[in-house]
Amino acid sequence: MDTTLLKQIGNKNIVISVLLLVMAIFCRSLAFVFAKYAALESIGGGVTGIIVNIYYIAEIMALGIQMVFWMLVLKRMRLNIAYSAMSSVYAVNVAWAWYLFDENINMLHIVGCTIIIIGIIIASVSQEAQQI
Amino acid sequence: MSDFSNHLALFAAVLLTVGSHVLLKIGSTSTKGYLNMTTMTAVMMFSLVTVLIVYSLQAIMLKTVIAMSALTFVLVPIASWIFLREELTKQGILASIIIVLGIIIYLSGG
Repeated sequence: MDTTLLKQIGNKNIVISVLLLVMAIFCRSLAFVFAKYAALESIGGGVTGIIVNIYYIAEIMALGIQMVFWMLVLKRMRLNIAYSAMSSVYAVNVAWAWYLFDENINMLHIVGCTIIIIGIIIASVSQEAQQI
Repeated sequence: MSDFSNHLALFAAVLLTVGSHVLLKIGSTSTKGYLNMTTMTAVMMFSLVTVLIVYSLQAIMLKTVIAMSALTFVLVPIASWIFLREELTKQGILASIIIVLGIIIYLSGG
């Protein structure tokens, strides 16, 4: 096969893999956002108040869709790369907390979040090395 | 008092997540196929975690819950070492220390 064509197919696969990964990260972070909205709307409602809340149902759906994207990602990517990239969900959630819920984010949160992500990347690389 | 129960729910959610990961691993190696009792218990525990997370978020800020959920990356390797006799690597221990350090710094931000 023509090398240019092979290169094009390779680039297309990478783009699709990255897009799927971004969608998985987005759905995972969205699940936390829905959980927070469900929490705000179900205060004092007990367990039933939580389960019947529309945002709780949205959270479960977001988690389900995330699982589908995650499986598609794992089909195309190495686990350590995918898992490391997935750790960025912590940074995305911090951004959501600041933007949607007006939670105060300072330098310690940013530094702490960065260190957590570094730790998760090391953990996922270590797990991959163990499997090989 | 209410705040205490929300924190307790968050702690329980973290522990149940760890427990369900261990059970999923045990269930995945079962000879009875994927839909066995162990796997179903793990799925039920995951469902309970989603409710506990929502309950904890009623009084705890989202940024705090996010940081605490990172604890699973530390506790799952420890649980798999205790219950599944999986090896704890030096790199894994280093990663756990870094994650705990990150959580402490993060939570000290308020």
